Amino acid sequence: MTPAAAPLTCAEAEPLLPLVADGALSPADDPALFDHLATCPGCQESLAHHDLISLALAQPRPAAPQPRVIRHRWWLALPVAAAAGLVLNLLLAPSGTAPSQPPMAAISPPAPAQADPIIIERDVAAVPGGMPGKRLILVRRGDQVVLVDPAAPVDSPRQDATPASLRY
Amino acid sequence: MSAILDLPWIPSPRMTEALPVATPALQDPVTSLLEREAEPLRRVIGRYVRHEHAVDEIFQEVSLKVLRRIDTVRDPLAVRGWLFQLARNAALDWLRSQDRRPASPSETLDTHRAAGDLGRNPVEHLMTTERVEAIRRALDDLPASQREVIRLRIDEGLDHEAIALRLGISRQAVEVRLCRGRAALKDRLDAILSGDL
Repeated sequence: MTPAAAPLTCAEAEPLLPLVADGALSPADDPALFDHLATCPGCQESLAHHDLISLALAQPRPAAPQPRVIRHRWWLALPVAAAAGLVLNLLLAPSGTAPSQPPMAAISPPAPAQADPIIIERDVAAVPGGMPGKRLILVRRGDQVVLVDPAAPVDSPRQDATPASLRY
Repeated sequence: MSAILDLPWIPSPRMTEALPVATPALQDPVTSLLEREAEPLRRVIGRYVRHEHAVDEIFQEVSLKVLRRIDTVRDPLAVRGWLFQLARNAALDWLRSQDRRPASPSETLDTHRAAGDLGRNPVEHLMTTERVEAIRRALDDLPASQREVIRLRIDEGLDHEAIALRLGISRQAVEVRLCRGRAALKDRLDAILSGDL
C-alpha cells in the first residue's frame, strides 16, 4: 500500500485550484490535493467559483448591437418631390407671367383641358388631344390656374385666360 | 484496508473483470461505498446545481460511473478524491449540456415559475448576465500576457503545451500566467458574489 501522503492545508491547496479548474491536474496527478478537496467545503467552494469562471468565459458573447442602417428609398419620394416642385413653382411664379417665358397668351378655348387628364412634366403641362407640337405652361393667376402658350408672340393681344382644372 | 474511507473491501481490477457486474456479492462493497459517500457527493454536486431533481439525476450518473470504473482506481487512498472529481465533472457536464439544450416546447414560463425560477439556465441562475459580463470585463482588464493565455485555453481549447508553443514560452510560464490570471478573475467573482461589485 502506498504510504499516506501528508494531508494538504487550504493554503497549500488554494494556489493549485486554477490548475484543477483548467483540467491540468487530476486525482492521479495529485491524490493528496483531491483528497483534501473531497473533504474541505471551503476549497470546494473556491474550486466551484473557478469552474463558474470557466463556464462564464466559455459562453458566447452576446452580439454587439449593430448600428442601425437606414436605407433611404429615395426613389419613392420622386413623384412627391416632382409634384411638390410643380406646386411650389406655381405658387412662387409671378402672377400672370411664367418665369423666363414670354408674356402669356390666353388659351381659347380651354375646354379640352377640363375633359382630358393633364400630364405633368415638371413645370410644363401638355394637354393630350390638344394641338400637336404645342407646349403649354400652367401658371397661377390669383386663385386660378391657367394654361399659357409660351410660343405666343409677346405683343399678341391678350385674351382672358380660362382656369384649367388640375387632376392628379 | 482504508482507514480514511473505512472501506470494507474494494474489488481488485482482476476480480471485477472476472465476474459479472450484476453479481450482488460484488455490488455490495461498491453500493455501500456509494451509500456512505452519497451525502458528500450530493453536496459537491449541489455547489454547481440548484434543483434537487438535477442533483438526483447527476448523482445517479455518478453512481453508474462508479460501478463501471471503480476497478480503474489503483490506490484505495485515492478513492475519495476520485469520487469528488467524478461528481464535479458530472455536474459540469450537466451544466454544459443544459447550456446547449434548446428549450423544449413543454417548458413554458409557468413551468419554470412553478419550479421557482424564471426559465434561465443553471449557469445563469448562479451567475446573472451582469455578473458574467463583469467577469468578461475583468478578463479584459488583466495584463495582456495573462489574458492571452486564458483566451487561448478557453476560446481555442489549446492545452498548456500547445499554448507554450504558440507563444514561444515555457509550459511553466504558461501555467504561472494562467494561475495568476485565474486567481485575479476569482477575486473579482468573489467580490461580485459578496456584493462588493
